[in-house]
Amino acid sequence: MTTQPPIAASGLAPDAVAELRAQLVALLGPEAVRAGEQTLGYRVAARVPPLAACPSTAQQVTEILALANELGAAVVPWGGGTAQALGYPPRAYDLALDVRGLNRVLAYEPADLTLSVEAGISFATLDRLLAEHGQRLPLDCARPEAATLGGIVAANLAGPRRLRHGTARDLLIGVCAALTDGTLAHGGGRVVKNVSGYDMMKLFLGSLGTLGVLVELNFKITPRPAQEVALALAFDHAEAALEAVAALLDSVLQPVALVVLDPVLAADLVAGARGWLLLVGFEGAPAATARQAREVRARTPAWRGSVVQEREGAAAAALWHAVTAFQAPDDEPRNRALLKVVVPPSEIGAVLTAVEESATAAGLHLRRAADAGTGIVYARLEQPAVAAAESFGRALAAVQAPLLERFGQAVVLSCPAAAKAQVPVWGREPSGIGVMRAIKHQFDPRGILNPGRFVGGI
Amino acid sequence: MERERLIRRLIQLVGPDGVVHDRDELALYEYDGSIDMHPPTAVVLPTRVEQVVAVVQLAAEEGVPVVPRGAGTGLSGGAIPTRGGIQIALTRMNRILELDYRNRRALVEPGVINLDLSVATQPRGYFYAPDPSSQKACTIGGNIAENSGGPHCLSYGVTTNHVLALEVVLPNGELIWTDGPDSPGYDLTGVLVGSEGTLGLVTKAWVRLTHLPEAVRVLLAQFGTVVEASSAVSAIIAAGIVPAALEMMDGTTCRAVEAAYQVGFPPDVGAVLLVELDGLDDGLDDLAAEIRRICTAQGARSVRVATSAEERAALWNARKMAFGAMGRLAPNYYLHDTVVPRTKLPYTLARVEEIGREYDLTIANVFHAGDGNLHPIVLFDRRVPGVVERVLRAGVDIMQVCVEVGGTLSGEHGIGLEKRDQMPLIFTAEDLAAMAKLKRSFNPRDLFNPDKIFPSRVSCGELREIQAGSRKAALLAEYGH
Repeated sequence: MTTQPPIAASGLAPDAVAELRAQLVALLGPEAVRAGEQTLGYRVAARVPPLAACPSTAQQVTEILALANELGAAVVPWGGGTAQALGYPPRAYDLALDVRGLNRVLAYEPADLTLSVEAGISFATLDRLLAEHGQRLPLDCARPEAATLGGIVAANLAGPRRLRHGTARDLLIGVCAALTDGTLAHGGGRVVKNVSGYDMMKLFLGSLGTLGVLVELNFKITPRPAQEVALALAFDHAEAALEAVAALLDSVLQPVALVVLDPVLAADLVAGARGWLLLVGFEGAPAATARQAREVRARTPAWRGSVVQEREGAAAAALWHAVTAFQAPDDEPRNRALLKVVVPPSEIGAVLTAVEESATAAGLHLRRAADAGTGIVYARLEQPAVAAAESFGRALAAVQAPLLERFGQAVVLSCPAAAKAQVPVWGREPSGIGVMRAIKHQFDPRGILNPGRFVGGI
Repeated sequence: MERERLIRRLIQLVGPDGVVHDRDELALYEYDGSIDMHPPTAVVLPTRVEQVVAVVQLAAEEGVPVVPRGAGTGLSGGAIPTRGGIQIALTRMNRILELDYRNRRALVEPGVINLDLSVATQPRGYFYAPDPSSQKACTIGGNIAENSGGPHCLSYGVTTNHVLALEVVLPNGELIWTDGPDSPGYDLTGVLVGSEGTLGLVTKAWVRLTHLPEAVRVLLAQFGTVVEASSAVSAIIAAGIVPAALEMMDGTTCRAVEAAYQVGFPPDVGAVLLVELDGLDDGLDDLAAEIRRICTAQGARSVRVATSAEERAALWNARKMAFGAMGRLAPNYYLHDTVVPRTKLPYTLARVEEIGREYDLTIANVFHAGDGNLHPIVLFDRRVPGVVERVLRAGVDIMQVCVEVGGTLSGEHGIGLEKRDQMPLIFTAEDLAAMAKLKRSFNPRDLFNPDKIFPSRVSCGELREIQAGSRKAALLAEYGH
């Protein structure tokens, strides 16, 4: 955690805060309203709110939002707090809305392979329940005990096995959000195929709590695989690893993940690794995983690589967990940043090289992982010596700018709060920014939800 | 805007051969695959995105409604220009612009026919996965508007899972590109897919190409009753098996198919299940054996595994010909598209049968059983006095039953005009008000495809007023919530 002193960020006058507090206590009872020292755990970009509310029902969430809207109080929806590093600091921060009290399973019929939960349930709690029935929500999660399903959906978090299983976008079949006008809005349903009405799941997914507060989520789930296998292949050059990726993608094999690690990160994650690593995963029936692993072993020499490790079961899953943790945003780092560049997979090599050139020029240490099948490069940058926040911000901007220029987009997932004044953390404004602003205006006309944190200052 | 002047302006923008305005010719554009009809004022057939932008800008200036149209195969009335105006038919924008196998994607214009993309990519070992039954005719643009499904969507996902980015003309005439799912900002791509032409008009799409599987197995299981067959479906899903496709035809359908094409179904068959498994060859036979075991345990009379590609094709043909064969049974049919949780299939199908008896109507069932997507087909003869009303009432009862067990109105055909007045069965006034907010963000003047999705009894303007107040209470009372 940071050593920066917390900044009081309330946009409300003290008497308005007192008024909000009194009304929240009337709504929720005194135990569910926090103030003073008790809100330090809700810091975002070094800012702390004067108040936090801990509702336990969806109805209470709507009432809190209606109240905040009336008073013009800036609200940060809060799940596990694991992705609060994303985005700009909030323009104002009067109230943390902690939804972890909404943690019930609303419907679970294993034979339907569907599930309905409240948004504040943690990924680990849900996973334990599903495991009892041999099922899972096939998402990678960096901090499963803390992260909530609502947070995973709102921040659109995923990991390397998205190559085969998709992300929350492909698994979410129903949603209910509390809106700033005090209403509850449902979309989708509890069936796996549904075109009734607009796809509100897509609207809220990745919207970072700027349009509403998620209270209920319905998912498709899947059986746990009978077998999991992971192979680590070593290469002298990134190009050779990426050629192997292209060959695997153009084959009948069905890898669940294809991750390329640069030599520095490879040595961190896989003991004894030298050079570039390609991690290849398979899941499914033992006959199918064994055949695929066999084929990869047989083809590796032709790709100018060597198999350095092969893992099964929990050991394979642990490898994906380590990669997921590398790809996840940090809580308020001091002199570190995490960049994400999304490109067609054929451009990954160019991104890996470009980020290395600019990081070297900026004097930053670098570790890189690429979801090579999906086309996402994650780069962690670190300043070797502790330096002033401004100098780190300048160095980070110097790395991001050429990536934006060449690849159109480069997002800073996490960096020191102070550096956020120096870099456009969301990269370039997307072509649809006008419609995005219109959507924000329709759903949150007073701009009380996560104000200023999202793309284009939304 | 006066009709003659509108036509002159459109001809200036897209040329005389790009505008249809003769009243007889317009009759071809007044209907789609649904039951509703209304002619447009004029149809334009653009060939370039610049023309689409110009036409939409003209429509925005003049306040004229715009309704997009692909191949007109839609089943929910999505392409019906209920208020007249300009229909933009995208069938001439039908080029595959890029096949990027290295990145497993293709750039297509909206008028590309669904099957043509799979045919074009098959020699390189790829296909376009969403496969609606109309795939020989329907366009990818139309599929995007409706978020179309198909038999193989059970394991491969529906259209929305295969669309990566879109070039879109907005109702104000602005041309934008929406980004992939991992790009910063709201997921406009995801929101536009399935929005039935009410939010924007797609002029180009990057879609995903999928590698063909190494191996395929097709099984055909015959059952004495629909309830046994649907119990087998529930048991297969409960066992954690998600086949590539899992389709059911009931006895009525089988007899129609048999009468038309003689595929060898016994006359007393109650239902057949068609199960396709695909993927790696290794382990596939074990999975087929498991499905055979489940079907037998649920009372299957026989389970046949196709041994050749020809036999597989013959089994699939029987399924694909089913709708055509309905003509053997009755001159008219009304097709539904509800979805229920898969454990509720046996109960729901039994209730559908009861509803048929209650209204003295024959209801055939041929559907995507694996994802619980029912297609009850109500058979009738329009010439019989009073039958249409019975057909419609039976349809509402079927929807009610499906909603009661936790289901929904439409799995893949869309709401359109056809089911918009049933939306309050599954959504509250507040839910619809939130959807109206989304619509206003793109389409504030309601110029793009008006009268679709939202119930006719409530206008968007009224939904705007729904807040915590008396208006809301009145609407809630009206909807019976």
